[in-house]
Formats: sequence, C-alpha cells, structure tokens
Amino acid sequence: MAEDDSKPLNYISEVILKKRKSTEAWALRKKEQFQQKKFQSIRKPEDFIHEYRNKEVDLIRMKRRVKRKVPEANSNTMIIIRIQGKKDMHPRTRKVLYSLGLRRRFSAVFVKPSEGIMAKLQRVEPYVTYGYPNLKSIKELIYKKGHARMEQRKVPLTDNNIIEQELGKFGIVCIEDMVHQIYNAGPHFKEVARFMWPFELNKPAEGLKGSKTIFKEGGDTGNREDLINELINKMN
Amino acid sequence: MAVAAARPIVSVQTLEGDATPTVPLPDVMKASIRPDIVNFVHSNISRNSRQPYAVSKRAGHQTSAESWGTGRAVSRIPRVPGGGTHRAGQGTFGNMCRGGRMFAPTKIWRRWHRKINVQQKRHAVVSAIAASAIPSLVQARGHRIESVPELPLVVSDTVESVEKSKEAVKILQKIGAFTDAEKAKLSHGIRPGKGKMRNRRYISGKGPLIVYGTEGAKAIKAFRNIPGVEVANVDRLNLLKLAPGGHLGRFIIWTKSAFEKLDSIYGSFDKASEKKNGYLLPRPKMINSDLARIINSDEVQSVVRPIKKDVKRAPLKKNPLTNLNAMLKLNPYAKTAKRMALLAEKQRIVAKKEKLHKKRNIVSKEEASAIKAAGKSVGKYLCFNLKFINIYINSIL
Repeated sequence: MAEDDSKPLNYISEVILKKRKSTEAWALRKKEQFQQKKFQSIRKPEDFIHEYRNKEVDLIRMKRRVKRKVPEANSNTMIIIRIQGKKDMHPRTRKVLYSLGLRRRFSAVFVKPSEGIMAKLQRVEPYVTYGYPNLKSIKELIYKKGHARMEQRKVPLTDNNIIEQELGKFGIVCIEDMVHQIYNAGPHFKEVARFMWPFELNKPAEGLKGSKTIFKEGGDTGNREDLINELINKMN
Repeated sequence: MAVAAARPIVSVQTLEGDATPTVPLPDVMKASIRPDIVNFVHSNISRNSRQPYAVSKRAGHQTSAESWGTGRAVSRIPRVPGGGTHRAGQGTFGNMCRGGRMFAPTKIWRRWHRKINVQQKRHAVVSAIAASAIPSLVQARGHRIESVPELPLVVSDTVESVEKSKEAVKILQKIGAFTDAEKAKLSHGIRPGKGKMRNRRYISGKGPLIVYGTEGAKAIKAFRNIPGVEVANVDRLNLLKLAPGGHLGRFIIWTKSAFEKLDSIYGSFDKASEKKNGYLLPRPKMINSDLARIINSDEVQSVVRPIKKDVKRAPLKKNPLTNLNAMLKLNPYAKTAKRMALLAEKQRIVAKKEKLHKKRNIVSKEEASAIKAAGKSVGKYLCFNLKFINIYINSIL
C-alpha cells in the first residue's frame, strides 16, 4: 500500500463550476421569458387598431411638419442616429429612413448637410437625432465600429489594404484619410460615406427617454448640435 | 436474384458427355423479392382448400330435462328425468354441464375461403422463383445444396424421359441433389398436438422440387414417390410448392425445356407475358440499392465538384481603441503620437515642479534678478517647444 504512487485528486475547476451554474440560471430565465412571450404573442384587435391609428397620425404630422421652414445646419459634417421607430411609422416615413441608410434602430450615418438632407431629416424628425460630431467622436467611431461595404457584404476594417483597393483611385489609402475626409467634408466625402456600412451602435445605458419631442424642448429627437458627442460616447 | 449478382448465362447439367450447353437466364430470376407478398398470398391460398366444419346443432339438447326448481337444496340447472341410473338427475343443456351444449355453438356458415388478386398471386410466384436462384436464401431455408454445381440448377431434357425411380435416384445423386432428399426423408416424424387424431399424423420436411416442361412426361411417376421430392409443371407452378409455409428459397431443379419456357410464361421487365394476359414483372424503385457504392463510383465522382478545402473566414475584428496592435495596423503613426503625448506630459510635470519650487524659496535681490533673466530664456524655450508641437499636430491633421 505504501509503495503506491500518490496521485493528485481529480477535480473540476472552480471556473467551470461557476460557468455551469450561471448557464443553468440563464437557461431557466430564458425558459420563463419564453413562456411569458408565448402568452403575449396573442395580439388583440385593440393592438391592430392602435397600430394603424399611429401610422395614420404619423403621416398627418409629417405632412404638417413639411410645411414648416427647413432647418439649417451650422457645420460641414453631421451624424444622424436612428433612435426609435418600429411599428408606429408610416411606410412613407420608413422609406425616407431607408434612403438615409438607417435600416435598424441605433444605426448611424455621416452626411454632409445639404438642403435635400435637411428636408429628409425634417420628415423623419421624431425617429432620429442628429448633431455635429467632433474629431474625437468621428475617429473613435470609424476605428471601433467601421465596416466597409464590399459587394453588398459587411467587411470589418481590420486592414488598410481594404480601403486602398476600394478608394485608392481617390487618393484615400488608409483609415486616417477617411477620417480626414469625413471631418473636413472633403471633396470625396460622398465616396467615403457610401463606402462605409452604417454604424451599428449600442443602446445607451442612460441618455434616451423614449420620447419623440425635440431635444431643445426636453426630448430625445432632433438637432443636438455639439451635445451629440456625449450620446455617441455612450453608444460607442 | 439481385440484379447486381445475376449471371446472364446458366449451364445445363448433362448426364453423359462433356459438352456443356448453356441457356440465357430468364428475367423472372431477376425480379424483386417480396417476402411480405409471398407470406400473405400463401396464407390466403392455403385457406382456400378448407372444408366447412362445425359442432352438431343437436349436441347437448337430446334430452327432455327440466329444472327441479327451488326448494331442493340444489341449483336450478335443468336435470335429466327418470331414475335407476346415475344419469338421472344430472345437469344438462348448460355449457358448464357434462354432456351439455357448448357456448355459442359453431356454424358451418363461416368465411372459409379468401379472394386473392390475380396480380398479387403472380407477383408472389415470381418472387418465389427469383428467391430460388439465390444460394444463400435456399440454404437459409434449410436445403442441403453443398454438392450442387450451380444455382439455378438446370438439367438436360433426357431427365424427362426417365421411367424408373431407381434411375431417378441415380440422377439426383449425380447432380448432388439427393442429399437434400435424404434430409427430408430422415425428418419424417409424428406431429405434435391434436393433428395426430385428425388425419394429419405424420410430418416431413421438403426436398427438391422437379419442374418439367413437357406435358405428360414419364419422369413424373419416376420422381414423385421419392420421399421429399415434389414435381410440378412449369405452366402451372404452385406457390404452395415454390414457397412452402410462406418461406422463400425452395430448392428447384429445372429441366432445360422448362427453363426456356420461363421467359414466355412470365415475360420480362418491359415485354408482357405471352401466357398471362398483360403481366409485366414488378420493377423495384432502385435497381441497385447500394447507395454508397453508387455515389463512390467513378461515373459519379468524376462529375461532382471537387472538395472545397480552403475555408475563407473573416478576420476577427479587434477594437483599435484598446488594442494597440490593431491600432498600429490601421494607423502606424499612433505610436509616435502616443510617445509625443507622453513626453509632453513629462515636460509639463517638470515645468510645474520648477515653478512651485521657485515660489517656495526666498532669494536676494541680486539672485532674484539673475533668476529672472534665466527664467525668461527658459520660458521662451518652452513656448517655442509647445508651439512646435502644435504646428506639427495641425499639419498632420
């Protein structure tokens, strides 16, 4: 008996045990959510009436808003972030959002504020917020969340070769050139903005109330001017 | 017989001479084998030779028994009248009494026979013939075919003119089929169960089946009395002989003329039979069901696209703002900018310390003027340095 070699006991790592415990807890929570969701999947006639009425009201308000004066911008570059809108939008409003490239919630695009762009923003004002980004915000967004659009595919910007082979004919060979074009609204702004896939930002922990009122009046939407940088910092 | 294993030519076993004539294999030997149809048809065919039977309708009622009623300390069953014998007073009529009537007496008007579709019957016969050409099935049925030269076993037509059983036995021994007949003879025994007293006393195994093609052949009488051997005409093959008990794989000995008639009797897969109106052999869904072999064959593998071995995977995107390597890949200047920022920070710390130190020490007028002059030159240098850094950064941007 004494001649037997002593061997270490078989054990399971504590990290694995903790992971197992949290996985089981997560599975239970998921099951509960699924059961709740199954119950809530039944939609009542009131829901449909509410939805259709919201769409109708949205169209009416858009028509009223269009009669007002088109807002003006005080910067060369602007960023637009879609912050809400799902079933309560009229299809015409959704089409305007799609033409801006904002196909999903919390997506963002850089634009050069022209009269046409400002007119579109006026139409979709309750669902977007926009402002004037500074160099830090632009740089961090493009470095962290930048993706290229290549053959309708979303390619992450992990290498400057991707940029060079697509935008090299405009003299843009690296990501810093892109930042330069965006910040200064350079001659190739349009090509660079179109080359980038719309940014997909995170939901901010706080900073959005879910309101459709203009930011100047205490809501979430509309022009935030320079204060957009705080929101970008939270959503990046 | 499986199509993949079928040989197109079958040898005819001659009894004298070395010449070996051959005959083509009929298509019926390549038909699909359906044990389910054979079993079903065999069960139904064997029912059609039944004769009606039932208990007598008078059984248990041929007495004038009446119940004694109550008051006698006995049950109320009808009891036989009379006296003097121990039959008197016995219960009767009821199914629980000795000599009484059975419960629900059976009647002769039962459903004794079965209708079988003609097509189904033909499919069963064809399946049985095809199974008899597969040695493994014939052996699995229990036949002794180790000495048989070939299956299906075809003998020349001289066998049909044999008249003596002694000669028939010699022929069977010559082609190696007598072992099976002997096995059948040795299996003769008494039937277990009540069949012994119902005219079914003895049981015996089955041996080879001789199929001849000439009507009125003399070999019928020569072979049929050998124990275990059965005889059948090729025009009137019976499923009860081809698949006894519903089990496939009967050992069949064909004569040459009988074998050659199979094509005209049963037809082929695309030509109808001449004797059975409009009958075509059943075709399987897959002629060769070895799917793995088909896929791996040269004909298929030479056509398919080669395996894609290079897997293109998108590179994992790191966060350049926190991962310095990812940042340097995108912006090599970031290293220089970071170093300059650190140096500028250090420079500001040193300058701040000197400033504080100067304020905390009291100096004389001469020293104060000297320090003031030196301070001006140092301050000028710092201003110039900061201005240079700003210019550099702006030019980069």
